[in-house]
Amino acid sequence: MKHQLTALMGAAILAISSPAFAQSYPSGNIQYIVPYPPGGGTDILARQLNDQIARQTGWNFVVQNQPGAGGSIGLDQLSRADGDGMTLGIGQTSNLAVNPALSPEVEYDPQTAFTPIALINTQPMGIITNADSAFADFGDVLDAVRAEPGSVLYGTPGSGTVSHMAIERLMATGDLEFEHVPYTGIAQAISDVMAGVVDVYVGSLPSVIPHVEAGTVRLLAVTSEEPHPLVPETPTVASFGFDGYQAADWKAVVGPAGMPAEAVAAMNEAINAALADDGLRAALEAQGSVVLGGTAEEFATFLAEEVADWAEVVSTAGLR
Amino acid sequence: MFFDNVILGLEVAMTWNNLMWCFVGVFMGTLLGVIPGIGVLAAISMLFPLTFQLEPTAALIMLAGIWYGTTYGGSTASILLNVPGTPSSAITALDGYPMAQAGRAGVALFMTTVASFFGGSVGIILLMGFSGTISQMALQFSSTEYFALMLLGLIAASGMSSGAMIKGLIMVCLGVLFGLVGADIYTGTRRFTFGLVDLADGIALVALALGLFGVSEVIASVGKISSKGIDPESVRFRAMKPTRDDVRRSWFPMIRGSAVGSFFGTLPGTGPSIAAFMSYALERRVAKDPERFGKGAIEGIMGPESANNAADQTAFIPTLALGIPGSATMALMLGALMIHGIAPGPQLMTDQPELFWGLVMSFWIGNLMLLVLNIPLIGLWVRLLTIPYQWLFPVILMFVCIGTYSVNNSSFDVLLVAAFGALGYGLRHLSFPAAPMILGFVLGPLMEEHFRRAMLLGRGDPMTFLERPISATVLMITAAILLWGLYGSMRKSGAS
Amino acid sequence: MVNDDRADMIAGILIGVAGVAIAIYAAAQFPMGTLRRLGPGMFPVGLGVTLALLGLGLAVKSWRNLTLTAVEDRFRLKFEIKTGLLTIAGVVAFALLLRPLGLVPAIFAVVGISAFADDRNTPIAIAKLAVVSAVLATLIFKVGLSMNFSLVAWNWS
Repeated sequence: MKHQLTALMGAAILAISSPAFAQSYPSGNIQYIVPYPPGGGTDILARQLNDQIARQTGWNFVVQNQPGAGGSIGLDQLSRADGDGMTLGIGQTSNLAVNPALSPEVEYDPQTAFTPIALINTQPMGIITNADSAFADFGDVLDAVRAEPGSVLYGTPGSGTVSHMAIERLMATGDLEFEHVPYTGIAQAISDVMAGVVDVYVGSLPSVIPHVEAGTVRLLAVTSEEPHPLVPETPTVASFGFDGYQAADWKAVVGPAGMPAEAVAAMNEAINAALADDGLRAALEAQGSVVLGGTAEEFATFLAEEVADWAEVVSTAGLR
Repeated sequence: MFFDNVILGLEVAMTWNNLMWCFVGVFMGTLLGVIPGIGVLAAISMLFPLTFQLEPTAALIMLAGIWYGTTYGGSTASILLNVPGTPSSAITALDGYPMAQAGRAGVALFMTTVASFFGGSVGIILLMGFSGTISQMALQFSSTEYFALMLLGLIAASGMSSGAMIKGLIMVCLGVLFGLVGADIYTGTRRFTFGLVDLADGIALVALALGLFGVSEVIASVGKISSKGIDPESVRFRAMKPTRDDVRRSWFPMIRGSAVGSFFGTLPGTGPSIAAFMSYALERRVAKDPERFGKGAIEGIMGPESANNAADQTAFIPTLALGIPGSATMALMLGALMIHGIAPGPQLMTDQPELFWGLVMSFWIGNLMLLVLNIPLIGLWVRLLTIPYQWLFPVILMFVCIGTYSVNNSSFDVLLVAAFGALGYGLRHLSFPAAPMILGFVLGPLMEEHFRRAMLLGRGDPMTFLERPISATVLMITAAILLWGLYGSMRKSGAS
Repeated sequence: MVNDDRADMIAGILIGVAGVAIAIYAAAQFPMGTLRRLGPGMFPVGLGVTLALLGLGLAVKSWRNLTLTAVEDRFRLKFEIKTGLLTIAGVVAFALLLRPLGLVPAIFAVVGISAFADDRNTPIAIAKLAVVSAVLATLIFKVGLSMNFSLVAWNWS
């Protein structure tokens, strides 16, 4: 009953003018589920974005951190919330596209359990090696792998992370064989790269750039389709003969399934307006992000592609 | 140069604004440390959003204050109630609680505050003078070395509790087993999760520690403790005064504890909890009369409490000098910098000297504040014991429930506390010691992780453990301890 | 805490059986891997075997002690069944009620149920204690730390 009424009211007001609707939605504090602990990359991004939206619209967000199982527990909770637009959350490559194919316990179907609202940003992975390594560029790494499959050890921040899946995708595309050394987070992995114990390390670009700048490690390649604006000189993995190859950690705002179209439109508009702000844009770009934004429909199409792509990587690699 | 930096740091740390946030941090930290369950990560997480409004140095000073402040407060509940305030002070309960039962709660609380300050000071000195050297040393530690160290710890600690050795070993194994629950980090295979998504990340340390030590303690104590045991004299200010014997016994444990703690603080992936355990094991090893341990030996609280505070401070060495956060909490600290557009990395110390030295000097101020803050509070905390236990225990349970829930916002974790409480009560009734289980829980999964990674990195050759000098040395020490222990027990059985 | 050899023997046997069960389950469920890439099964299987041996050791040791002394002298264990059940029930009730009903009812549950474990607590005293606890918790966690709890809720999803 409440839903119908809101929807009806929303539709009626929207019929007159859409900015007017923006004033009736939201009808109070927006509960905002961040499926990671406070202080992590996702949490910081969510808070920065919400801050900007709040400044521009006066809406109030109450962030609720619900960590666990690679972000899947928080999203599972979101999928069970009321679809009235008053509970939203932030999702990303791992919990919206990879985990549903990879993890046996994920119960939600990312395409039906959520209402896509808007993409926020994307960050590629950076592939680094020790400063004194014999690999002059990524081509050398590929040569070594081709000459002796399994001879190159690559570290990642964990099994099932985008870093791991990025190489799995490369292995599936290029018929290569790397040996995976998962770590638990970045600390020991970076330390092992610096000591030259592990050959290469794949991690999110912002997490490796400070070490590249310090000169202790070298950046060999990025996993985005186009060279990244922060490191324009660094070649993409795709440029080594893997056309169309890309792997990125994107983040997006989603709501539970069945959100009224007007609420989606209002939130999407607010997100795009916030992302257009120079200050926020500069902050995100400094962190290694490419700002995306766009319509809810574009996000839905993108999500469908990603879900299919990663499911294929998971099944080709036999990870499930 | 060094003194210029110290002066610069003091100038930053002594501004009114930074002093205030330092006080807020250590005050909140010490209070939250007293409350069982709310660990440092949860405490920092709760206050993290506040840092969006602060300038980065103030934000870090406050978060760091919470971090080392909780460790000061953590021993309070361990000593008074046998319920650990934080996992890193669980071990303090082993000898702190018997001291309290003997009417020496004030002494125990006073001395642990001193130990905390001593350990913290050693850690800060290392942080100030040797960050570069130590962080380079930490780089020498790869999985091979970690495995050797964890094995050493486990062997050294196997005789950690009084009572039958075989029961201690069984508890270590059960602890390792609980530690293995969750997704295997190498393959993602779910082990012993029984399809529960809540177990995918494993069992939370806080649930295990509070169940085993906290809830089982409550069950065992209800109806048995009245406020009878509390002599009104023992809550007086004078009762805090340690005897000359206490002081004499405390020096070396504090020095050894600080050394152990400083070492484990710098290694990513280990930290104050492991430091405290290792220090306790060491104290028991070197003691002339190990049978005093578990019955109120002051060495058993001084070592661990210096160790966990030293580890708190040295944990900043890899974090600030290399940009490598050794724990989730340290990653959070770096997160606080990221929101202010500072990329945390190896160049932080040179690029942001005001931030680095301001933070380091604030540690001195914060530790002094904690010393001044905690000693008068001791009288207040000890008065808790005058509340009749039949009123106190339901409130303890409430704090345990809320504290556990707050770590992951998880009701499931609270159910785990209940389960481990029941298990812990059963086991303690059969005189199975609880501490080795926590040790196994913490060290076991790390041992597996590093053993498997060492084999991967060594390309399948077990000789890697003997080829690398540090690991070979540590393994040799381990073997020596093992042989020495076997020889000792053989001689003993021969004599009897 | 007293050592009870008969209970120890039973515990030893139970642990031994559990160890064998764990080893068999792990060997059947998880791959052992290769020397280079050790599988998820290696540690659990090793652990199960170790536990089985330790359990056996404990059982044998206490059985030998048992034959040395008369049985009735050794059996001294007495579990506090009522205390244990009420305490555990209180914690479980908190876990189950916190999300659906909110913080205050969950506190009433844990304090109200567990407090009955001590016979000296009268129902009126318990009611007072529950109210005081709820106020204390609200002040500390809600007002002081502004944690994200609903004080009272109605949310059974």
